[in-house]
Amino acid sequence: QNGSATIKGVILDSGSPLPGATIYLKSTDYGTTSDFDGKFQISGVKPGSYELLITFMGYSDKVISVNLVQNQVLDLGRIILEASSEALEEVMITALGIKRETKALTYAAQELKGEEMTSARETNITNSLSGRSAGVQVVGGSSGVGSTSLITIRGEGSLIPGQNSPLFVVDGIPINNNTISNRSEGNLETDYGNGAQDINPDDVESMTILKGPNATALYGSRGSNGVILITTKTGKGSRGIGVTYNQNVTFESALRIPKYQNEYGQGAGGEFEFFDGFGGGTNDNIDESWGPRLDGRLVVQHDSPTSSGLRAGDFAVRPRDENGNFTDEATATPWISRPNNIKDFFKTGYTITTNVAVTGGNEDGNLRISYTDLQNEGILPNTDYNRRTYAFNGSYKLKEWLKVSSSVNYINSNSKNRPNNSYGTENIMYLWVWFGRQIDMNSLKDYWQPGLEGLQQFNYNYNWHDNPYFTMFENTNAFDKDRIIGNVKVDINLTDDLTLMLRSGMDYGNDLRVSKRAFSTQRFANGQYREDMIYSKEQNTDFLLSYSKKINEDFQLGTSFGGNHRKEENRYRRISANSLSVPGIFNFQNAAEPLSKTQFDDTKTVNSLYAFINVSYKNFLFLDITGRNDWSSTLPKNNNSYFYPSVGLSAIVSDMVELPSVISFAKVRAGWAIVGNDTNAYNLRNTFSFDEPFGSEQRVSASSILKNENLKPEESQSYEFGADIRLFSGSVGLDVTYYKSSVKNQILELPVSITSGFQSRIINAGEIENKGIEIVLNATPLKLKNSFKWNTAVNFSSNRGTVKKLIDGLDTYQVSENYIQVLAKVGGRVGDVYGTGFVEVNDPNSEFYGQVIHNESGFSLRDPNLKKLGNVNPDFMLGFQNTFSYKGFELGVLFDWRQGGVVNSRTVLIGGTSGMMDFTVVGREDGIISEGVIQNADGSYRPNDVRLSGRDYYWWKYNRGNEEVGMFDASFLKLREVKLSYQIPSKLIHKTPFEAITLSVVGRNLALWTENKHFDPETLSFNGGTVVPGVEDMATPSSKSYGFNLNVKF
Amino acid sequence: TNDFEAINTNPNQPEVVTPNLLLSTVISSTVSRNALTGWNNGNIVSQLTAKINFTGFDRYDWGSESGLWNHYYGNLSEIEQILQISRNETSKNTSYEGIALVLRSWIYSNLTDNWGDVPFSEAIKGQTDGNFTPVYDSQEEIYTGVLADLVTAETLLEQGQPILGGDLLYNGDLLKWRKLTNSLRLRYLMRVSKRKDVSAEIRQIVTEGMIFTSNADNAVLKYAANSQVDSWPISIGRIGGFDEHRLSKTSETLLKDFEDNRLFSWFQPTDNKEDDPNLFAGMLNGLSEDNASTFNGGANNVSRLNQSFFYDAPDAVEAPLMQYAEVQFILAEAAQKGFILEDAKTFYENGVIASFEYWNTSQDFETYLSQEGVAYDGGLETIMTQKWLASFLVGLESWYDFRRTGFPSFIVPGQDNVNNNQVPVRFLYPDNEQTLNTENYQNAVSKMGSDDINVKGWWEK
Repeated sequence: QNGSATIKGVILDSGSPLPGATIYLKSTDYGTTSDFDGKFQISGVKPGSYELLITFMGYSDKVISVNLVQNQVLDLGRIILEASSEALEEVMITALGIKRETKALTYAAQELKGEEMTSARETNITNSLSGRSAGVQVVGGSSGVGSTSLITIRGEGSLIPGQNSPLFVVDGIPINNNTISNRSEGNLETDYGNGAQDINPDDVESMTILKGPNATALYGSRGSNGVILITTKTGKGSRGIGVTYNQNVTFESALRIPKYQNEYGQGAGGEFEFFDGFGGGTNDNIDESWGPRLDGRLVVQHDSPTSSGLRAGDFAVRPRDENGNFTDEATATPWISRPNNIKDFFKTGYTITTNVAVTGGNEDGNLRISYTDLQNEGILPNTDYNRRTYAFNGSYKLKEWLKVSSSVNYINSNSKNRPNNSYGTENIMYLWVWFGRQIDMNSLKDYWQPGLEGLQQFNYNYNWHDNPYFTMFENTNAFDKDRIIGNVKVDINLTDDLTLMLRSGMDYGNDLRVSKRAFSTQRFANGQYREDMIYSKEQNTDFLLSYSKKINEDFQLGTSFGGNHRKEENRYRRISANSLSVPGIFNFQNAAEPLSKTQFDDTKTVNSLYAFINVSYKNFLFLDITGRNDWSSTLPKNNNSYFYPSVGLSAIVSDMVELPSVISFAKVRAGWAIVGNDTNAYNLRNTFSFDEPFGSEQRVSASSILKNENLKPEESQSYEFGADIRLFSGSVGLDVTYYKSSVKNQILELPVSITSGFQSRIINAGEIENKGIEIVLNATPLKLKNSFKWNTAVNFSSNRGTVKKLIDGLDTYQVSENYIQVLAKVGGRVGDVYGTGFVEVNDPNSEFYGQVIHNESGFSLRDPNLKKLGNVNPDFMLGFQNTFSYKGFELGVLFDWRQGGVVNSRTVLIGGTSGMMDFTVVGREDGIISEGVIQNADGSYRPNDVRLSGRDYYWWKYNRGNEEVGMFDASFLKLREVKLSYQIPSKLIHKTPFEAITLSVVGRNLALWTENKHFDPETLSFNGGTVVPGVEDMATPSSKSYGFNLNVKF
Repeated sequence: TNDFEAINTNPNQPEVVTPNLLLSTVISSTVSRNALTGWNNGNIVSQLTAKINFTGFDRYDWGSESGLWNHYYGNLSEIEQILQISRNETSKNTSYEGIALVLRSWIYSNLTDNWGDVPFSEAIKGQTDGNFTPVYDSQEEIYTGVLADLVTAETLLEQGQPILGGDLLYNGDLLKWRKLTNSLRLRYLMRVSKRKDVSAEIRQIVTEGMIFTSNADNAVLKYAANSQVDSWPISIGRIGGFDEHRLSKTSETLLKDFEDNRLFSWFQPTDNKEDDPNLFAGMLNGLSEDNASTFNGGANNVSRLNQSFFYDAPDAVEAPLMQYAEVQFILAEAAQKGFILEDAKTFYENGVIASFEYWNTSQDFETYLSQEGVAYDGGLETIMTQKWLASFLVGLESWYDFRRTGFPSFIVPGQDNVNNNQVPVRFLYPDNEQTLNTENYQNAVSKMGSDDINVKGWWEK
């Protein structure tokens, strides 16, 4: 540009370059960022007087006044930024979206930047939190991309499984994080994911994790499990038009597949020959691998060719005589091991995410629009997950005193097929615990019998199973979900000190799930067509009046008063045609029997008023007081109003007294809070539920849950103490928090003996105490002049939940039951697991102490008494993040370690009885003696010497009722994330339209170290619609992913 | 907040219903479950059929059968609701009340016969008394209560108030309900007859004659087969589930010895095309998995159950609660024991013929009834053997009879049983009772000695 001037310089931090600092001329569009040498250059500046502003996180802002004349090249030389006495200037978004100085906070909170979650990304943003924040536990789901992730903060305050999720808030609007199950109609559950997974990482500016009730008191009931505040990106700070383009491509493969044996094939007693797959041959009805040794002998198999040109398993089309006997002959084929048959069923999945965002702004306003397209193909054939997100965020200052803003996210997610979970033929992992180890998986790919396409599947067994490819391609569970999360907001500056915010927002979801089952499916001989419609709407309208005033030199006061009206509406419809007239037509008109129908709608309203006061003294002592009152429609008239207060205090010790010079900053904080909680809609009075009619007789069932008209709101009280210390000019930061919370009058659905007429009753009960510590350590162990830098961060947390009290006369609460029972016993730890096992010698003086006792026939004795088998919760969790940067390179490595906890594996138990698992090879030929003792008539013991057949031994020992045998240590260490990125030096792209280009190679969940070799202990199971931890129930393998990320800024 | 109550009123489900809607639920689910129990458990333990796969139950690897326990107690809460509604002044109906008592008695007898001492007097009182940990009553107390309730039921049913729907057993025919009530009294009087003198009461019932007099009186549920939920459950399951059950060696031997045509009604010839197409072959009960699946050269050399009847048709099977034949055999036993003066032989022969008629099986009765082993010889085992055959699918009745009488004596544990060659006499208590009703569970166990499948109940001692 003619006559324009140029400014350049180098940004340094007492000697080493500072890449990434923001440099711009105030009130203009001119600006840039420093490159990895700390250098910057702004060209084409119109001559004039400017203020040059240099900002960088963790450093004090620097302003330089410049006066530019035509064609001047102003070299400012070395500009040294002062490390701000760290964090002092940091601000964090806190409850109700209020920005607070981090140093003033009276509670523990952690903030994650959006970019930490986008290069090595998780499709489900919940997973991105794993290992990154102390006290946050994330358990990834078991159905691949798109599955539910269970997240808990500071342990399980509620004893109700699935009710421990923190509240997710997007731009001030609470959103639902529900997992809605679809059991029933004879279908197994499908995991359609948790609500928060709809959030698109590309649009997230930051996530603040508010952990304890002190931090969340202003959110009321729903904040009692912590709050995750998501702030979406805006165009703020942009000068002119900015465009970013991000491309992420990752490949996924199964992380760990059970170890199967490869020495014996299908059958029983060492014998097998296929005839029709119904038992017409030798053990061809047997779906277990107790058959002949895989020694290459010739055996007729399901895929052996016949003289009629078909496959032996084409029973429905092979020629037959008038007696129904096949008239063609099948030719025996080699009986050989197929070590990779199951492994080969899984494929390499991929996820392609493309994001384009445009920002723009000026002094009065800004906006950002963003489009993101995510396409995933799963590691199971014909499974996918797609998500498109349209995001808009804008604000405009209409008047000096009036600002309007809005953010809207429209998200469409869909899938043509999501895999089924749990135990049964619809789950692919179930098929592998009942399988023939000799089966060539390729032989099943052509899954129709010729001429009977759409009518009759082809399989290796017809008694029990569906062909796995038939299951994946014909029996699909699709969904298509629209979600809109949006708000409009008005900020009014009434006076210099008084502001008013008005806001209304909505989280709207509409999900249509469509399941199809083809003819000849085991469970649906004549097919099935089913739709589940799930509609949810939550509206929140709130206001906040805020006043802040510097009273005198020492005191500053901030106070606010606000209110919120919330209305939740949910509608659920399920309609199913459980048999069809014509194959291949999937709609309700084609139903061959009366439709099965379910309908459930609910509505809930909560009104709230709240106020808070912040007082600061000399900017080193801070006091927070909050109070909130809720009125909930779900509680009885007399108990539907409840108030809860919180008080917090923090002191910057380093500003109050002289500390040794190594301590650059020290703060202590303490807080106390009470949080109330309501319940779900319709928990006060019993109702009858409709069943499907029997013939022409309509039917209803009595409620299995005893409702309660005298419910009270629950109350949780917590204390929190913490310290934030930074050493060596901020190169080491340590934040320690100790907390103790106790929930009283918890509203529980307490399981009761069914002999009382109910399975559970709703009551206020108990006192659950959680206490724990969280340690966050940040350090820069190495920082060299040549710009090499090593940052390390450790997030450690340990939580203990204890049951202090239940109700009078009751000392055990059954948290969940899915083969194992998770019990809360008074005095016991939350998450204790009980189950049955074998009788052991319990005399500590016996030389056989601890050994399993057997009967005279050599079978171990089962103990009908439940025994404690461990605890599902980890003893501690540790995330360990290291970042190495050098010039434009950055290498990040995140380890996630969970120590302790147990998990029950149904795959190992059932695969143990079916001869599938690797360990079942031992003893097949010669039998096996079960380890332990036999009790003599005189009460003494002798070593067991009775040899059982191999099959009897495994059948008895791994019986699925012997939960003890299937228990494994759930401790694991995962290489959660590896990321190597390179930012192309700005001088190389100086002349291009690009402002910055960053290329990354990324990987997630690349390695797993754990006790067992069969499955990932980080797993969930479903039971009756509830997500149950601590059980591996035919879980789809978790996946590792690797790929690259390209980020371009224009 | 004024609209809160309206907002929190459940729009999906009623708070008040009429008893017919509950009665249809109870009858359809419990009676169907009884047939399924007969299929899965009763026929196996009594060796009418045998398991070729998943032989655990057949080998006496028994657990708690908690599903059955939950089913019974679950249905008792619907029965309780019927009782509350039908006893309420405004909705009073003695017929629904009577029917509810009959069904309740039947369920409690099954509960105590399966598990021993169970919650009875304090059970199903969570809502009314706030009792969530009911005490376990002794089997003797339960039977005292069951028999008294049946007497009460009879007087209520006698009043003849009309039934308005929901009666899937008798479609509102109260006379038949009265016959069922008294027939059940006979069943339970005979059950406790080793411990109590029941002769007078049996005599009185026989005199009054309000008992089953033909198969038309049978308490059986007919499947509507409109949809999967009102069809014979085995017919909508996987064929493997049907196929696990086979003709037992015990049944084969007896049915062939007697040239009993029920062989052809219940079973089908082997599938092996090399065999005689009319060959019926049974297998031994209580074999290990390997021995069962390779028995006689494999599955196609062992007879399946009659597939067209028991699997292919959703409504061929009727779910039985009680049949006329059983009543006749009870009377035959009563006469044989001298409880009543009538002729045991007549009752016995009526029972035999009734069973054939029930199964729609043609048989030359004169020949059949005159052959050795069948012809009435005054011995109890002869009666019990025919009663055993007639108990096909009738829940666990043949097991209870075997535990009480030791007949048929040819029921002996299979070679690979894991219960020291004893036929088990009860199920274990469900794990949930240990957790949720701990103290009463422990008291019950200590009264019995241990929670063990070999601990005998009161009436069989």
